Amino acid sequence: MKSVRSVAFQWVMCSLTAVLVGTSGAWAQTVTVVDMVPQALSNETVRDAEPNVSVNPANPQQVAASAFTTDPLGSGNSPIYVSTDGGQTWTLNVVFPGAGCGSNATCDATLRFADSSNVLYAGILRGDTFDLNILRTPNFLAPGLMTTLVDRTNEDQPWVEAATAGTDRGYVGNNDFSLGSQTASVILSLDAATAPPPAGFGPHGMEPRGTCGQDGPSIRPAVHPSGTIYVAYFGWRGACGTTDVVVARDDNWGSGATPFTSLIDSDAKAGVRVVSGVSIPGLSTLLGTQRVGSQLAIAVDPTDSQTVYVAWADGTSGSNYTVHVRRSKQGGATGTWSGDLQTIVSATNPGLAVNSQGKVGFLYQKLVNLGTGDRWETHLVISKDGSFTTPNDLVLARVPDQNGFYGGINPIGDYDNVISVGRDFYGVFSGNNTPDLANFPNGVTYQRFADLSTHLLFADAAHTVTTPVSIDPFFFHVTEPPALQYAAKFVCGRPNEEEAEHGQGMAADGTYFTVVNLHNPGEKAAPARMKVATAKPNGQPGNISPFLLLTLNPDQALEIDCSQVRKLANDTSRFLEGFVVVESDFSLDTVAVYTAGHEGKLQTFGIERVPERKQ
Amino acid sequence: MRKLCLAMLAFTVSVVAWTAGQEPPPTTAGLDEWVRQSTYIFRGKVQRLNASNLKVLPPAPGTAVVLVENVLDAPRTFGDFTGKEVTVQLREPNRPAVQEDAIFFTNGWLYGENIAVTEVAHQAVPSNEEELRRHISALRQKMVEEKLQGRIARSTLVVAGRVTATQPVEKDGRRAPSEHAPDWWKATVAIDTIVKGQTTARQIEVLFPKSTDEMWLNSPKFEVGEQGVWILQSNQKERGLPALRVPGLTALDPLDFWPTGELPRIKKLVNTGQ
Repeated sequence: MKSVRSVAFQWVMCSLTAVLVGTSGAWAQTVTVVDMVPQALSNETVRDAEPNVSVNPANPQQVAASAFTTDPLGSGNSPIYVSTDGGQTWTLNVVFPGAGCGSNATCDATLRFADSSNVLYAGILRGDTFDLNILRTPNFLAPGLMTTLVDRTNEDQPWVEAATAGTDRGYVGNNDFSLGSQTASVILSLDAATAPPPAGFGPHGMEPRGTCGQDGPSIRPAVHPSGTIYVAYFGWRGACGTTDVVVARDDNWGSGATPFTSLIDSDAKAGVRVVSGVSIPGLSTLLGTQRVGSQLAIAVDPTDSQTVYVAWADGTSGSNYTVHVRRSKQGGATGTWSGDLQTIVSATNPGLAVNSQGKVGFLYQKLVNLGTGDRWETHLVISKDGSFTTPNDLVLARVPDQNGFYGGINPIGDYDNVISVGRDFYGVFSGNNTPDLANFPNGVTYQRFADLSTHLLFADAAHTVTTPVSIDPFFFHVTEPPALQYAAKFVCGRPNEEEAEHGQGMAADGTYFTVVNLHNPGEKAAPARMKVATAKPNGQPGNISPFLLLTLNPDQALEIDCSQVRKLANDTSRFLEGFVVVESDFSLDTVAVYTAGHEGKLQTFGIERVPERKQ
Repeated sequence: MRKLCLAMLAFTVSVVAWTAGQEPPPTTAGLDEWVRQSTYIFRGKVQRLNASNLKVLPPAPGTAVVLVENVLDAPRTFGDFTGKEVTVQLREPNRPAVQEDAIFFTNGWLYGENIAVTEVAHQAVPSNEEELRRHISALRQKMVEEKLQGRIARSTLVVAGRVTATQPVEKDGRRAPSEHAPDWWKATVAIDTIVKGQTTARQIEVLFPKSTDEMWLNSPKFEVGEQGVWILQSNQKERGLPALRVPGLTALDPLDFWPTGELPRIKKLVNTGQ
């Protein structure tokens, strides 16, 4: 008989080596793209353009989105898209007051969940009155219209951001023509969730410099959980053919008497000019058939309030319309902005988000195949460190610029967007809905009746009545793996005695136990997930369990023993071995304790600290 | 005569409804109000109470799954749900009862793998369902006329004529201030007939937005040689951002311009409104 002790230790040490070699370089990113038009509306041919999406941080299964989509029953109000399964399936809910734009929909619309209140906020231009409305609902699935908090006239392109810090904070960038020539504005509230209208919302002008008569339409806020608020806007200069890209900042939620004046530029005015005097084409300029001229995005790193990214487009024509991405790691201060991290020609609709790991997601739509069958290529570029030196470029769609039911200009709309919740990136863009997998390099699913082999849409389940192609909104979700991974070997149970006796099988004769201990040494709660990968003999891979979610509060520890391993693996085999894989964005103390007994006595004992691997 | 028929129909249904334990049907005025408040009217049979056939809508005491047996009123572009089940948010839980037929007056709520509607009201199925359908259809037409009459009431001038020229309105040199800029053009309209209002001019200038931005997509756009009837407002204050409006005559609502063949109808509405 072999020594149980020596065999067991050899085996454990070999296994730990295998952890470092066998699973290194894993990239567990997944990409999901979904045509959002619901199945019950398979006959619709509306231009569902200019979309915006928000995920409820308190429950990421809840997702809401907007587009130029009509109420199919023509109530005179307009719907949003809602999902309760993380964006896999979608339903329309009629909650926006008014209709009349485009195919009888709302005009510009954006929406955002606050962090933990479950309240959804929206900023819209009503389709009937064209007034800017700020809206609120505590239940985005409920019947009836959202509560109107603010109704203001003469304002353009509301862009809403929201956060929770005790109370809900709301920030609605907009171009306010009632302000004279300095039109960039943010309407903000520091207590938006429950107070009666206007729920504390009030306007604040952003522009301290002279303009050509107004600022550009796009005004974009970005909120950091610490209360640092950035606002990017186009300061139109000269004869409105040039612009400054200006970033302003407030360090306390915009709560002071003179908000957004934390950044002072070299001219002693608030708001730093990231670039100055660059050319912009008029707002009727076309790139393909898409209108361009005011495209802007901003995002702040949730792990560092001083790291901020801005993306904008400039140029003198459609063909040289170019999207730029730049970064400041010092709060946007003068002289701290990088050069171009990304420069994309013939592109529009930039979006930016930074996830909980500091990874940057950069969304844009680029016109390709110019003159030979123009197509809109939608990219999500993910940079691990924000430098974009070795980015992961995901092509989400490559669809015709124009064909089918919609023949007008501006098919995809003036914006799209990407956001992050935790590690994951979520976003939405509009495009031609021809059901052809070649148009979606990372795959796509349709809810409406579609045949991906014949590339036809249908009005009915039996596929007897075709529906023309049109413009649909497409949701995407890109999961990023946790930053850190720990793979701890486990061995549980008793091998076949006869095989073990003859030096065969998986281990020496005895009964094996493993306990994996996790400890959170940090000062924040550490969400983590755990799975079990079982190993089979003779070079055969075993099963991989689903992830089990867990959270360790500061200084908490827990134990994972053989019974939990068996339960998670759903495996009652007499002898089970493999790996417990723990993933988290937070560094954990991970220790595996191994014991083995034979004939009722403890025969061996080992402790291994499991190394941390960055993903 | 039609009102009399409907009244008799209502009485008959009332008796039947009472004997079946259902609510009596509404008066004609009440029925009309239900129709005005509804966008989807159908005869349906309740299949399950406290039930839903949409994933996002958990079953609740107020929800029921109803089989659509006959659609009496819906927008033409809406899909046909006859023979399919829909979820109805009932005004009162458990009414109507399971397996009960009723006419449902509803509005759209959720559109997913199936649809959910909210009930405005329901009534017992009348003995002459076709008569009810015709009544609803007639009321819908009346509502269109009322809407058109509202446009006429807001107007300062209604004329029939022909477009003799179009040209862009001179700009002040500034670029378009917004993606929603209307891109104002003016059409010169030679007047054949003045239906409402007064003008001594033989031709007028009508401003129209050339822009196909979503804010202006539905507004009539004019071409040289086009003939029709214009329902015109002076210095309108109802469409577009105020900063982008210009003084002048406009016909911006889709109901503000009609083919010449509709002139008698519009004359009649003008006279009715005076």
